[in-house]
Amino acid sequence: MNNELLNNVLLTYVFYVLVATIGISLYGVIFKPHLTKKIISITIFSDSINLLAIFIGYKLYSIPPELKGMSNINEVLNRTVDPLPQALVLTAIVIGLAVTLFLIFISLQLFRLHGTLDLRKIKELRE
Amino acid sequence: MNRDLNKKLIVITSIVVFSFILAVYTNLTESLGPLGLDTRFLGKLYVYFTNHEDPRVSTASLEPVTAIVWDFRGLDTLYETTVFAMAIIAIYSLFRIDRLEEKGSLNSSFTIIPMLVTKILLPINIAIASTIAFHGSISPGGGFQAGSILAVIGVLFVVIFSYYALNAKSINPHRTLLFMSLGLIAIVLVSLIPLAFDVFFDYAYLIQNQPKLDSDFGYPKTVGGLVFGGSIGLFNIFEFIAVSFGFLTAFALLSIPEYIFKEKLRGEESLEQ
Amino acid sequence: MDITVLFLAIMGTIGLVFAYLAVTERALVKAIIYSAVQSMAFAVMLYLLRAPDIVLVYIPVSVGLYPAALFFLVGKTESEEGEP
Repeated sequence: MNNELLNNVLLTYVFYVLVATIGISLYGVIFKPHLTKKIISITIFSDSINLLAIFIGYKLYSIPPELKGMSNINEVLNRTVDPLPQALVLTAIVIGLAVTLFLIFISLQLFRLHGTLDLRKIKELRE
Repeated sequence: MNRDLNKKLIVITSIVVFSFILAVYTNLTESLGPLGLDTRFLGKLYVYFTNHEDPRVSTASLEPVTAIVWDFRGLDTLYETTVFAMAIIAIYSLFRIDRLEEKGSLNSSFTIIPMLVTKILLPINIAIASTIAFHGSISPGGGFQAGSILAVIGVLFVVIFSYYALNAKSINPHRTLLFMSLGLIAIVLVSLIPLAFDVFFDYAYLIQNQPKLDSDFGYPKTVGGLVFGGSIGLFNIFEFIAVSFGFLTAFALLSIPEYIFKEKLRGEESLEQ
Repeated sequence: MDITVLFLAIMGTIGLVFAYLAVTERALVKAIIYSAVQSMAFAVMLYLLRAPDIVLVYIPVSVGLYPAALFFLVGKTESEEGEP
C-alpha cells in the first residue's frame, strides 16, 4: 500500500531530523567558547528534547485530548493522542525557563566582574 | 593542535553514533506511537476518569491535560512551582539593590506610534490572559499559559517606557516580589484547607479536590452555572498571579541601567582595599 | 499521504536549517533571530502534533521571553563572538 509506506517514511524522516537537531545543539553547547552562544544552544536543546517527547505520543489520524462537545467517550478513547507526555512537557518547559533565566543573570554578573564573556579569556585572567 | 582536533573528532563521532543508535533502537522495536500502535493504556485511563459519571472517582474538569497537571499529578506541579519561585528569589538576591528614588514620566524617547500601540495593547492582553486562566478546566488553557502571556506585555512596557517610568507607578522589583509571594501563599492555603477540615470535621486527604469514597470534603464543581473545576480553578487563578509577577520581577531587574551596578562594585572594591 | 505528516516534514527541515545557522553564526544578534525563527517552526509542529496546551505556553516563552532576555544580555555585554 503506497499510502502507508509513504506515511511511515515521512514520520521516520521527522524523527531523524529531530535527533539531528539535538546533535547540532549539543555541538553548540560543548564547543563554542562564548557564554551567550552556549545559552542559545541550551534553549535549542531543551526545545527539541520536549518536541521529541510529544512526538512519541502522536498517532496517525487522531484528535486532540478534549472532552468538551464530545458526547461519546468511546470515540475519544479510540482516537486521542496520549495526554501524559503533554503534562510532563508543560512542567519541563517552565523549569527550563526558570533555570535559563538564572543562567542569563549569572553571566551578566560574570561580565561585570571580568570584563569579557569569552571563557578562554576568563581562564587566562584568573591565573 | 593535533590533540585538539583529535578530541573534537572523537566527541563529534560519539554524538553522531549515539544519535543513530537512539533513532534506530526506538524506531525498530515498535515503541514509537506513530508507527501504527495504539495509544498507551495509562493515557486511556486518565482520559476515561476525567469526567466520569460517578462523582467519587472523577475530577471536575473537562480537560484531561489540566486534570493530569493539577489533580492526578498535583504534587509534581507544586514542586515545579517551588523550583520556579526559588529561581526568581535567587535572581532577586543576586542583584541586591535598594529602592531607587528617581522617578520618570510616561513619555519616552520613541515616537508616538510605539507608545500608543503599547498603551492600547495593555487592556487587550490583560483580558486575553485572564480568559485563558479562568477557562483552564473547559478548554486548553491554565495558569502557566496566562502568566507567560501577561509577562510579554510587561516586557514591552519595560522596553518602550524605561524603568523609571514604571518606578513612578511603583512597579519596582520589591513590590512585584510581594505580589508573587501572595500568590504562592494562596496556593499553599488551597492545598492545606482539607487539613483544617480533617482536624475539625470529618476525614479528609491533603490536596483533595472532589469527595472520595470515605471522605465528604469537596471544592465546588460549578460556580454560577459554569464549570469551575473544584480546586483546579482556584489553582489556575493563583498560579496565574504568581507566574506573571515572577516574570515581571525578573525583567524589571534586568532593565536597571548598568552604571548603578558599576558604582556599587567600585564602592565595594575600594572598601576591600 | 496524510497532509499533517507532509507539513511535519517540511517544518522539521526548516527547524533543522535554522538551528544549524543559529549555532554557527558569529554575530550574536543574528543568531538570536535565527533561533526565534526555529522556535516558530517548532511551534507549528507542536500544533500539528495535536497539543494545544503546549502551544499556548511555547509561543510566548520561546518567541517572546527568551529573545527579549537574550537581547538585554547582548546589549549589556559583548555583541560579537571572538575568533574560533
